[in-house]
Amino acid sequence: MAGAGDTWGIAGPDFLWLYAGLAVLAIITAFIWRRAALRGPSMRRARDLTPTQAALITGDRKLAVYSSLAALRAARAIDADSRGTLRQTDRTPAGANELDRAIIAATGRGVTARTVQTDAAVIDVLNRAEEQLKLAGWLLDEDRRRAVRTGSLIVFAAVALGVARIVAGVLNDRPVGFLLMLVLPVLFIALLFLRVPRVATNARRLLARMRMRAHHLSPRQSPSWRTYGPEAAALSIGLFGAGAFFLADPEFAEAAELQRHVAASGGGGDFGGWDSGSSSDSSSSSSSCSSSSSSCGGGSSCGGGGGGCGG
Amino acid sequence: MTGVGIGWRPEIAGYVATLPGLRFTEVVAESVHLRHPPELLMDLVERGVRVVPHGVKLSLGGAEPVDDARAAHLARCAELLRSPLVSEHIAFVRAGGVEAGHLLPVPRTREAVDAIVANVRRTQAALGGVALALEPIAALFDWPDPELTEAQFLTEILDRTGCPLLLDVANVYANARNRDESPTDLLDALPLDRIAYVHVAGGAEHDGLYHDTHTDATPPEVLDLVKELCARTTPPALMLERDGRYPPAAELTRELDALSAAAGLPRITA
Repeated sequence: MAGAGDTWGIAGPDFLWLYAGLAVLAIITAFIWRRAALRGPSMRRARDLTPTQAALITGDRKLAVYSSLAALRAARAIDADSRGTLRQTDRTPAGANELDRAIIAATGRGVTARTVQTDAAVIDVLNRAEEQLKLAGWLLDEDRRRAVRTGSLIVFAAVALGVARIVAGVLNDRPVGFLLMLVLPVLFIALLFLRVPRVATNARRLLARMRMRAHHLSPRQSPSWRTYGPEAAALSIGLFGAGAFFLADPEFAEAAELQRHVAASGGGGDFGGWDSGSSSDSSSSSSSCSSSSSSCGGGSSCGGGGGGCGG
Repeated sequence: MTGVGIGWRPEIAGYVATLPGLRFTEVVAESVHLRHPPELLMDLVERGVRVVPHGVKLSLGGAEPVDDARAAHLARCAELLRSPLVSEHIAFVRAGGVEAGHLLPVPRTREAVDAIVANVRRTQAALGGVALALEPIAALFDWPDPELTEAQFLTEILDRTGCPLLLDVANVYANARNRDESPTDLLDALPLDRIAYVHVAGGAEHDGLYHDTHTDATPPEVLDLVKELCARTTPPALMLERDGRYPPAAELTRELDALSAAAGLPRITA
């Protein structure tokens, strides 16, 4: 098969097939590595998360603060004045967690729902909560994220091989169009693999399980926080996002100028574990060579037939 | 259908689901989406809890015939929830295409009885074999020159349609109090042997009138009337109606327990 002028002694069509096979192998390997690295703690042994933890995974620190505000509101322990300053209106509820207590303490320092996040004691509690989640593996720490990125190197190696062949092919005065069309999607996938989510896959699954069980706390039910109590109110926010606040306690939500779109709705697919929204892109990039116009002259199938188009 | 129950509302569905002794509940029929019924409600149906569709917008007391689509919805709700019984009010909610947004009282005339009986029969036809319990409403005013007393009016409708009675004790209390009558006298005049189940609810006084709000705790006077009722007959089932300003779970539990005690029935909360 190999002709005298073939780059690296491999004919273009042969190289295309070989390269496609290698690239697919690299992507599958990286994908398996990634999935394992992102999985997180075992679901079977997992206990339910606290409202603060759920909020930190569903959303961010702001949502964690909102979940505590929800608990304190359900207990009628705080209020917001016309300028949004938080006030303690009743004694600290018996079941208050660490963050609830830190926020109550901060109300003595004239904070608003916005600025309470910058209170040193509140930051301290949030830092520790995040550390615990990282230690348990529900949130991915820097080491883990680096490990996940390392796995994508194999796909970049495939890109590098393709680029080397393209360069060699060009120098050898051979057409490289089809190979270029193959390398670009591989590069795209490699870049996608660089994106590492903040949250372990099983953390999302655990949240999904908790949401199923706490279906009655979903904003769609406009749940009565007063009936279910402070912890359920906090969980409602932690699992379903800040929007629940505006249904359950619109007066406070408006007065305290809460932001409605903090983690507007939980969920989203956890396939492969990239950040929500990007997972669908990868399927569209599966290398297709069916394009009829090509640099390779004849409209034949990719790499096959009239040789020379693989560099 | 027996025992004490509480009206199923999405806001407190998680509480209702945890009641270990719950044997029956009621859902507002117009709130049930037939293709996407509330999961938590269907869980109760699976558990064998009797769920009665309770209509509020059929307008049985209207001068025009009931809307067939609304009657059909009630029938399909009963089918979906596997209920042998549905309920509606003796009231009108629209006239000449205008929605009142409230349950309005019907003048107690023979003409009105005829119109209601016709509407009930039309609804019964749509329901197939499912029974239709009729609930008189709390009225803050009466139409002038009634031809029939409230008891006569009701008995005549029940007799001619064969429908069982959904007796709202809070309404009896409210009507008697607002008209300065004795609630037990009214009770004695009603066909108590026709009761399918009983509504109990809270209310509050505004400007000298007692309003059947369903958003306040059941007052002791209403619970006393429940005792009076249960001294006269044994209603198969009694249900607490709460439609807003939901209290903490512990308060609902206390209210349900108080209702059980007043009716001499076992607690459903533990």
